[in-house]
Amino acid sequence: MRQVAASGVRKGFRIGKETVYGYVMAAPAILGFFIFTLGPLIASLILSFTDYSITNDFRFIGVSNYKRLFSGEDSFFYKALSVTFYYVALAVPISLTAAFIMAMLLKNNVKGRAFFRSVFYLPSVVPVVATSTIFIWLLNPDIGLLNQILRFLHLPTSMWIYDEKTVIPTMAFMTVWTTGGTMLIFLAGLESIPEQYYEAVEIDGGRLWHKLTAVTLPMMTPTIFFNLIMGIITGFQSFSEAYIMTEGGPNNASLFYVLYLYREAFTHLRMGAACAIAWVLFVIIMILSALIFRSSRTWVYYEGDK
Amino acid sequence: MRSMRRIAVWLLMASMLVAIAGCGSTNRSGDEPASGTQNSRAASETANQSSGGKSDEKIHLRFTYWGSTYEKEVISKAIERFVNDTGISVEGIHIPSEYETKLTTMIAANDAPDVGYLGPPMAYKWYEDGKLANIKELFMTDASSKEEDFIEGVIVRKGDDIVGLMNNLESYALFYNKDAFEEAGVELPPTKPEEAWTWEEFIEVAKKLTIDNNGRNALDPDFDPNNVRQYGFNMDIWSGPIEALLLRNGTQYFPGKGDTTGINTPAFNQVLQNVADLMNVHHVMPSRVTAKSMPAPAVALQSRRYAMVLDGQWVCNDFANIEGLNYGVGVIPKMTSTTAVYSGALGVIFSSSKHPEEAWQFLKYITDPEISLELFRDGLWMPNRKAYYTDEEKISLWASPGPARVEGYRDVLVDPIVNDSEVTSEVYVKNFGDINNILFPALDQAWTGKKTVDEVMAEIMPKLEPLLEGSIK
Repeated sequence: MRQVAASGVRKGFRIGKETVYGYVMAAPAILGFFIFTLGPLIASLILSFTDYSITNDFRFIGVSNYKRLFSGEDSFFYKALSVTFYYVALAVPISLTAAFIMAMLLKNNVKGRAFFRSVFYLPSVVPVVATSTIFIWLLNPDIGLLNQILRFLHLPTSMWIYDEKTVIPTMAFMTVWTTGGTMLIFLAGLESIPEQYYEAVEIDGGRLWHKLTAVTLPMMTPTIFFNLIMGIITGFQSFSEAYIMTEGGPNNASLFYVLYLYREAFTHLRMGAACAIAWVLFVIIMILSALIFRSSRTWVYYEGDK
Repeated sequence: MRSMRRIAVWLLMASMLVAIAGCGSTNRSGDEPASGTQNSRAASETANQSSGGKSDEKIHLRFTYWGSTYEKEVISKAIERFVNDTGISVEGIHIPSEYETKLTTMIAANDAPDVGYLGPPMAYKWYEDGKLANIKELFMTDASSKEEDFIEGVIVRKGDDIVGLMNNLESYALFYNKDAFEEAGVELPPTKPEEAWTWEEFIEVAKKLTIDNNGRNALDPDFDPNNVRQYGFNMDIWSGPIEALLLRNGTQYFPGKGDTTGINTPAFNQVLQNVADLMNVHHVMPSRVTAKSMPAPAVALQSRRYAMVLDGQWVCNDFANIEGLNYGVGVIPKMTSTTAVYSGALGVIFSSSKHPEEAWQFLKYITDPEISLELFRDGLWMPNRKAYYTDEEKISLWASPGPARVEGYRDVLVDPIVNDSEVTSEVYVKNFGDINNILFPALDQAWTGKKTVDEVMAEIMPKLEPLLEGSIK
């Protein structure tokens, strides 16, 4: 053994006990990644070129799964895409703004700050299924609380999730309810801004608005950037709300992309097609993320950068 | 020590192999009965022989099924009885929701059950994929069961093969709250098909039974359709009850199991428009949104939110158990015809089963009204054997008046099955699921009154046409 070790040293390798332990300790994570993430990832890429439906003896069919999507032969594909883009375009700015405002408010040294922080975070702890079920009742056009209040105030009521036009905006507004996690990250970002910057603004005669635009926003850009990326990714992957509340209706107006994928895979058992759909989503998210990353050079400010 | 690094690499490689093998094994399982019927028949034959060879070995069947908790109870009892009678052990696996998804994963894991329920479209698909056994041989060689014993559409075939047998039948009827009729002073719905209301008569009655918060009915000029206390009528909208109405107008998805579609013909669209008009023109049926906040049919009928509902006869089981519901059953109104529709889940045997003969025996057993009589008498099922519709003694076993089999049940639901009925499109129309997937979401626009049915159909026909491939023969 010693000789082997010695020869290892001579050749420039030195794998000590620590390294071995390192590998062993990391093995579960590494194995987990290979077996449960990379393996299925590769498998799904391969399967997206087949007509796999779990029970059949699958054949390779080239790019016909993809062709079927892009040619519009599967009429749900473009519908699901437009629904999801619309949702992301609404939900991400709404929830980011709401989370940011909440974080700003909760940063102030008000009485019971810890209490309010917990309260605003609380909805994020509730499972989406429970939230959605509650919202089904709140949004019911006949007996729901929201319309009752509107009627009481003699304001026009809405069909909320039961109308093609209002279903997506309604769901986008629902995200405000569960934006506690984003808020927490903003809060952490706000806390890390050094007080002296604000003091400097005060000395220069700046007001609240100047503090916000000259200190808070620039200092927060890395956090906003992170939340934006995460928001877009989770937005594209939205599923439960539509699955539970509308089943994609009315008239497919809330057919989220992942719901469409799920239906293709588990209702129609067209696994090959579903894999192709998943890969298209993967590419879309990748491109969007890349674009945002690229744009970040122009608007994200890291301390210490020039 | 360099070997350590190599070991790490090998470990990673091994893990990837495991992952790949995982995919491979499902592939291999697909290989076996790949070329369909002949192979699977051969497979089941060899399985027979091998099971005969080691007959002293304890036979164990796994059986998957869905249904309410009530159904689960009765089926569990039937399983117990079967085990006692035959000595074959059966493990019942109750899957109340996402049944086919669960079953698919079981098949993917090479862990398919021996025998189970299955919806017809999936049964055809899996039969083609070689996952289901052809039960023709079992059926033909079984002295105790003959083809003629069963109702015509119960035996589901593909070409010459038999894919499965409907475990039970279901059909549709009009159920109503007697008190609501009495209060409105309206005559009860007829029970004999030849006396069925016309659609106009039905609308008239439904209007008398639709009452707003001020107590005015829908015939009153001051009737307020926005604040309705009791709707005259309701039905769930999906292919089942819609098909019951389509047949009342002499059409279906593919009438007469042919290859010429009924979809988008005037008769077909008329039925759908009639339903839409019940909501938007006559206001006797709640909008789909309002209906969503209504309780289940039994409670809605009992609490007088509805006076009548069109529903499958399985609701009899719920209706019988609702306190204070004085309900009756009537025949569905006719447009041009009074043909009834029937459907039912299939019982199938999986090709991977090592004991297809015992599985067949089990299927026969649990669907036999003499064994699981409660399922029939308590309202959930209708028998799949002809004698229970023609032999007075056998009819009285399950359909004689009782809480779940009210007066008139026989006229409305039993006799039409043998006199004038068609099997549901679900068991023979190609792409049935895909067609409905396009049809029903689009029809939302007709139910809300934004578009006419003709307009909706014109819009979706280009998408539907490639799917209208006719009937499975």
